[in-house]
Amino acid sequence: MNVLYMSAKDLAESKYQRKGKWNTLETKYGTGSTLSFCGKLKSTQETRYGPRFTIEDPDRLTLTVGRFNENVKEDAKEIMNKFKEKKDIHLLLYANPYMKEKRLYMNVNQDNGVIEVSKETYERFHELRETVKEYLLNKKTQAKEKISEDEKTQTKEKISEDEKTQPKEKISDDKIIESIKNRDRGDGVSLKEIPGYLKDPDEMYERIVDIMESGRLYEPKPGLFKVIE
Amino acid sequence: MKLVPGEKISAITRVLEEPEKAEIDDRVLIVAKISNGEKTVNLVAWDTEAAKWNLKKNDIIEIIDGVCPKTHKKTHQPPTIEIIADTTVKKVDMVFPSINECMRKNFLENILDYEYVIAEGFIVQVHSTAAYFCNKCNKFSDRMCECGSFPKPIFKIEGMFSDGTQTLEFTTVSERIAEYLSYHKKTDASNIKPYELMNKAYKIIGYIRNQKLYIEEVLA
Ligand SMILES: [Zn+2]
Repeated sequence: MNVLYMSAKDLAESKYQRKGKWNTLETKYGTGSTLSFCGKLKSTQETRYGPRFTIEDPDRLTLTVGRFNENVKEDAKEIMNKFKEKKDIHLLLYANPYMKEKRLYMNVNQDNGVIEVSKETYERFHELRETVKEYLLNKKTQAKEKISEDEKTQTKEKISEDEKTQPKEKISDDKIIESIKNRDRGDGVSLKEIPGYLKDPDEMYERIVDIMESGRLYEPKPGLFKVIE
Repeated sequence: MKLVPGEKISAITRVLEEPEKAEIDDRVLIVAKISNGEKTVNLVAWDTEAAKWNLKKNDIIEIIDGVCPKTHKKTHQPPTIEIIADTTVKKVDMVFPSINECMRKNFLENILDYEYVIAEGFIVQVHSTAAYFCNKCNKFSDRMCECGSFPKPIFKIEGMFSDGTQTLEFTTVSERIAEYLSYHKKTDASNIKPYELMNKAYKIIGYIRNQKLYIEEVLA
């Protein structure tokens, strides 16, 4: 888990990337799999994927909450109800990026991934975010100047090795779901425990994400999967 | 100032706080945080060495042949210099970073193992708020231990802390610090909701051992 403090504005300058088993976002100042946003709740909408929140920080950002996690969906519904009466609500959110058909989505799927915070916390979050961003940007500029030719060739070699992946046998979705169900002792099952994962982590993660999309699995905590029953 | 457990260390430092005296079993211990302007460590003296202690907050001191305890190689203790019989500690008068300058905030990714850090960030996940130690089996257990007994809960908050440069597992080092962090009394330990801990930023003092952040103090 690597949390990156973000503003809605940062998204415009960022690139979605699948890195190993993680959906990550590459920003100008770093790469993260969990993106933290903080903003004032502007509007809410009920969708078939779960509540959709639009926040302002002051730029606008829309996130879907609880598509694969009932706990955080419940929290989001409570906030939706509260918002009908109280308009001054600030939220702190932990989202994962997801790209489909060239559109970038922000999904909140971890427990406590949406939390109501005070205006003071909202302000402190953004102060902190600015300081961290400035520090990381400075560091990146300095590091860029240092990259040696050596490292560049090493990277090239690694890429060509990665390209040489071989075709493999396919395990059915049902079998994956069944194995997760069998191995789950309450908290969910980690990727490593799923048969076929060690053979090809990327492929298996893609499969898991597809199964989650189909609504048969969810991720209560980053890296842990449970069957929706 | 690089501490290596089991090795001697000499340094000029400032005393950052009023020393704290404690009695552990039959022994007397004095501890104060000191810093050379870049790194902060605990200065520790036991028994006869503790009796000789004459240092106070803000003093600038030169330590010659202090020792970094050998036992710290394998335990999760904080960075420490121990005053032993062979150690010389003398006060010096010179231009030196002030307490505020010594206690500057840093970023987690700059901190090495066995180093203190003052960091600011959020608790991004809560794993547990109570721990159970079975005295019978002499180990940490679940709410019910394998041996069937129910140990008394210890107020201990564990989870993930992020300052935006790094996300680390953390634990509070004492029940007192768990109370500070949570604004809850020990008796509430098992009933704290994670969001109550995650809805604000913290400025903390902690140290890193084996990729884990041990939170010792909450500053703001
Ligand atoms: Zn026991």
